[in-house]
Amino acid sequence: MRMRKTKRIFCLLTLCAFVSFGLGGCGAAKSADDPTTINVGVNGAPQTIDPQVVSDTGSGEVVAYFTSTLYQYDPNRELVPAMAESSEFSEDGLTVTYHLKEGLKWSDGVSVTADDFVFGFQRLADPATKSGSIYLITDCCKIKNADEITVGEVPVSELGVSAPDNMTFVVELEQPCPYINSLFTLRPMSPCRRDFFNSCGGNYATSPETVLSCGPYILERYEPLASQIHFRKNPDYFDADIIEPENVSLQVVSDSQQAMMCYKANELDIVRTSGELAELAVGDTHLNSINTAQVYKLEINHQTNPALKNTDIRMALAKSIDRDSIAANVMRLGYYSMTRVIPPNFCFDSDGKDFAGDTSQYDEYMKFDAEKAKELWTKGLSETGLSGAKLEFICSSSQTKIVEALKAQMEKALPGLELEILPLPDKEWLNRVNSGRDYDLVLSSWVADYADPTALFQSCIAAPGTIKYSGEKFQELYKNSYNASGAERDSMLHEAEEILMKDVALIPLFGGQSNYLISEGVSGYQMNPTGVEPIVTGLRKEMR
Amino acid sequence: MGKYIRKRILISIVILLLILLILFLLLQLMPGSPFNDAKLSPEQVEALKKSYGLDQPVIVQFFRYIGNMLKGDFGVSYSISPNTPITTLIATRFPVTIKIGFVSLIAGTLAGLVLGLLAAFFRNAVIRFLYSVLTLTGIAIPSYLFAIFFSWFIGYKAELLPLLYDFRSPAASSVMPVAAMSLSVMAVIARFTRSEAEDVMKSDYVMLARCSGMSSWTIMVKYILRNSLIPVITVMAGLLVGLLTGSLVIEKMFSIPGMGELLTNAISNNDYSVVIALSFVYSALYIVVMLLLDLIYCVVDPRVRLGGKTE
Repeated sequence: MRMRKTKRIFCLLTLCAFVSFGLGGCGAAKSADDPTTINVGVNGAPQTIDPQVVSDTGSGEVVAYFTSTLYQYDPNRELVPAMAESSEFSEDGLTVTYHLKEGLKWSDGVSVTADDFVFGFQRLADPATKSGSIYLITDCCKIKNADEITVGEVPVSELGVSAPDNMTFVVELEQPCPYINSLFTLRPMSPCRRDFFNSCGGNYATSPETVLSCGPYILERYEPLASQIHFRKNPDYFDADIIEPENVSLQVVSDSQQAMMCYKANELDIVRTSGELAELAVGDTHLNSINTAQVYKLEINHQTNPALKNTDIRMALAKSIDRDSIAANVMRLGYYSMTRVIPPNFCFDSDGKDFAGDTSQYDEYMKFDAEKAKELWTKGLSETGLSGAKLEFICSSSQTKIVEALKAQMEKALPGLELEILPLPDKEWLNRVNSGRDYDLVLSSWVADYADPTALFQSCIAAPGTIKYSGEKFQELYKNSYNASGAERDSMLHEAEEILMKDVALIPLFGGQSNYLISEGVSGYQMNPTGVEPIVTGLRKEMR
Repeated sequence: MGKYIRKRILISIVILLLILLILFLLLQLMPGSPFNDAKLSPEQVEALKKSYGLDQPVIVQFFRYIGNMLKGDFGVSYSISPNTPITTLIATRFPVTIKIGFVSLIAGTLAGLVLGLLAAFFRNAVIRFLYSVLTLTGIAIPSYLFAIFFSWFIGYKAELLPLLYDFRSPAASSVMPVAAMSLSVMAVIARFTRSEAEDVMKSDYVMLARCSGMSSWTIMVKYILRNSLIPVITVMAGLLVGLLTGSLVIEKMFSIPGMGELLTNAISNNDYSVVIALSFVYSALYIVVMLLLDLIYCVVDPRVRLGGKTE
């Protein structure tokens, strides 16, 4: 009798323990049921939401929802004024004056003034802000005294930005910057209100309470390295009429398989996808591929390796690579082959024509042609008196698959070529690339910050003492392009690219794409031309 | 007893300081710096290092760090979440990891105890089969495979539970990660409980209790369960620390903002200050858990006396 009672209690306990796993669930929330909220899956947690500190794409994606800048890209990817009404360039191009729109407001109701831009720019330059984006005002454009301020030699107040009145913001440059409006769409250039910043006492931009919004949405939920971030529509946004969804919810999903399931189960409306999983979605009408300005390339030791000093040998290397086959079989979805420095649909000539509309323009120097490659190789070797070449090929340890595929193709096409692959930890690899020393070939990638060819030419400028390409004509054209405008500037930049390709200064390999699965009924998700920030003003969601 | 605890705490402090020093030196030896951006000039990287005090000698940095730590300041993150105080990062993530870790441990332990005792008590084929299947799969299959399995069938196909951790419905969204993590706990605990319980059941005192007409329930609770608990508690301590440090894969899969993800993120980004602070917290946690464990032994088994004295 007692034994039976014990048995019953046991059975009950067992049942409780196992059933407890399954309890608590009450069904998953479906995004499709709520037309007022757009649920977006993002790959990684944002590092920061301090606009001036933002330097990674994950953070840029979050900050884009609640900040606004002087200029912006509209949902058609056209550069249009945002908080600025208009801009004026002085004759020498060294002073740019921005007139602000009337009635701009922060989310606490206070007006946005030109001083907020002055303070925002000063914060960016201030070494105390410890921003990783300072190069935007020292290299991408040269704001007066920025170089000295960022290394702490001159006080922040000396930065070449001023506000003669509440509605006028003036930027003084050390060198004209024809693409400055495209650069000023970036989040580190957004305004920051001095009194609000000071009132946060060192906690600025660490929670929804310590940021102000001047963008399309207001930050509602966030914590450092958050996995969920929520926004609601900002009624005070200057263009609030065009913003439709009441709420946007960002969900960090670092596991791509889980992201795919969330999308298919209608928990997320927009997810980014790549690699093999994305291939499962090929043919899906909801798969959107957006080109980015990420370019994979081979950088070459032009100075100390006798074989690589020869243009024919460099061109033989370039023409021995079957990019299409590597992009399709090794890199999988998300990359396309490139035979020029500038990707298509990224920047435009002054007459509106796509700068790189003709993607095969430099095929003569770059396109895969095993026979031609061998011919050039033999010619190059006889010119240099070498019988072959042994080259050190360094890469990041995460890129060995691509590098091995490159090695196999190049060695097969060019007899006597021996490539010695040296995979390095990311940091060490980056150190070597940055210093421009100590390699024969290196696989690197570069993401443009603004929509202009110079954003990609920038990485081809050799610092003294490095082994990078140092063609004088190219350097001269690059430099002069800053003082030119219109068709004259276009032709300089085209010539510069041609020189890079003709001289095989580098070997462009692949361009990057972002692939998104976007649910039926959701539309208007777009990326800016560089692919680093989303354009969120066109988002729409209809009830399915 | 008091003396023993004082001695243990003192040793723990010395160990923690040593761990800190070793971590400091190891991280200094690692190549690269937290500021790796091809677009920053060497001067700008130097300026960043200077602003964080990373340009000073290691020993200066070490003592400054210890000094700040005593004031409860673990410093700020350099790269994974620039300028955010590490205490904030830990404060927002630790509760989530603790909650999920604790629930997994308790659910797994309860299920394991019941399963182990059932298997020891009843020599019935069905229970034996259930026991073998559950313990073998629990031990042999890694938790992330369970996570994938649950995600696919329960989250995706049946749409019963959310696929990702959601702070708006923490209970429902924790069920799958907790279930995935507690299965291995259950298996380990069940095996220990069963073998201990079987030993105890064969002992003379249980036999005597039976002969004296004590109820099976009393025998089980008073003698078998209590005496089987000691090895189980030892195993639990290890499991607890493992669960509290966060299961990286499970956290990644369900997007749980926990500690495991924070640590790996910090290591791969050379974010020294975060790595050191987290390692310190883990070491301290482990030492405290071990100390508590010794004290629990005394309660469960009065024969155990600490500090070398026996009664």
